[in-house]
Amino acid sequence: MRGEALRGHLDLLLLAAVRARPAHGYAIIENLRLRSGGNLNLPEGTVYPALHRLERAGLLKSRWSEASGRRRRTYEVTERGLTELRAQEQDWREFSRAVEGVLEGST
Amino acid sequence: MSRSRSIEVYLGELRRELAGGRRFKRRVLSEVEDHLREGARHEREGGVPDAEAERRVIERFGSPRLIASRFAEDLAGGGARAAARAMLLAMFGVVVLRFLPSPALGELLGMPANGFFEPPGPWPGDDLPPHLRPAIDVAQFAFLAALGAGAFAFWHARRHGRGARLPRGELRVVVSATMLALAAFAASGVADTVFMFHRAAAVPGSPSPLVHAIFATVRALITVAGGYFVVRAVLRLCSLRRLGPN
Repeated sequence: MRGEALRGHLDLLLLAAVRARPAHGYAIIENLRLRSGGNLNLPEGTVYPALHRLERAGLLKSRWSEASGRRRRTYEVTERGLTELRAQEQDWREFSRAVEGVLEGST
Repeated sequence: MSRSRSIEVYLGELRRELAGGRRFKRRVLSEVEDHLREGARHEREGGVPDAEAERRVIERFGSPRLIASRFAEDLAGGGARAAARAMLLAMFGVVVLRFLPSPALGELLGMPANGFFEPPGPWPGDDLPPHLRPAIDVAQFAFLAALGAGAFAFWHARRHGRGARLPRGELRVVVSATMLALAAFAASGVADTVFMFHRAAAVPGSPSPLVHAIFATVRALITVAGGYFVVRAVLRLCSLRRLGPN
């Protein structure tokens, strides 16, 4: 999955990636790559503007921490972010079921 | 090692491309540097030589222009939302000031109990000077136009969901509608102020010109505050054009 299609679902993926535990940008991308079996292919740097936007919207919060002598920004999901995640998750599942139904019916 | 694509060079290019305040840039560059160094370290742990490790991680990250463009797009989206919200708040503030003064405040300032909108009495001889009729029309229609444009911009900005990315086409629509709202709001304010001062002079029992002057000043300040957000949104939209399509 790449390009605009992936970009349209990036918010959902990022919120899901930090649902279990706070993580920094690199770990979030690694998490997405591993959990998708390497199928999510986007320029890694484009994740940061999305993380900043979600933080400005109050769906994520972040703080600096120190690791290996470097400052690192760690993101975690807020209560409002969890609510948004659940709503987007529900939308995605309905959409996915609908597409699946159409595709199966066409074979 | 390819010096032209080293992490330092990449960060320098990104610094030049990024639009925004110093604090914002510092934070972004710090995060990007951490990402690139962490990625290069992982590559080296897999046995990749230094130069190749940096090249790979930089290639995966995306070009500085692409990243700056995505940041600019999101900043512009945030700015457009803030401008639309500011304009609606400005209009709400003027409605409150103009139509709903509390009886206690009205009494204190010598306003009629029913606020400014309802005249305290008819124009002498019930004869509104013809040159003031356009002022009333402009004040009312421009305010309605401002309200309509502001509400449209706000709805348009919010319909994608909280904090969601606004595509560039939508951004232009929101910013244009907000600019229209600002222009109509300012025109309405000028026309309304002209009418109010004339009425204060002509209709006995009207609030004093001082009250109108205070009201006009507050209204002008509200307009300037709304205008600040609109101008900022326009500038951010312009910075997006500089970076080109992404």
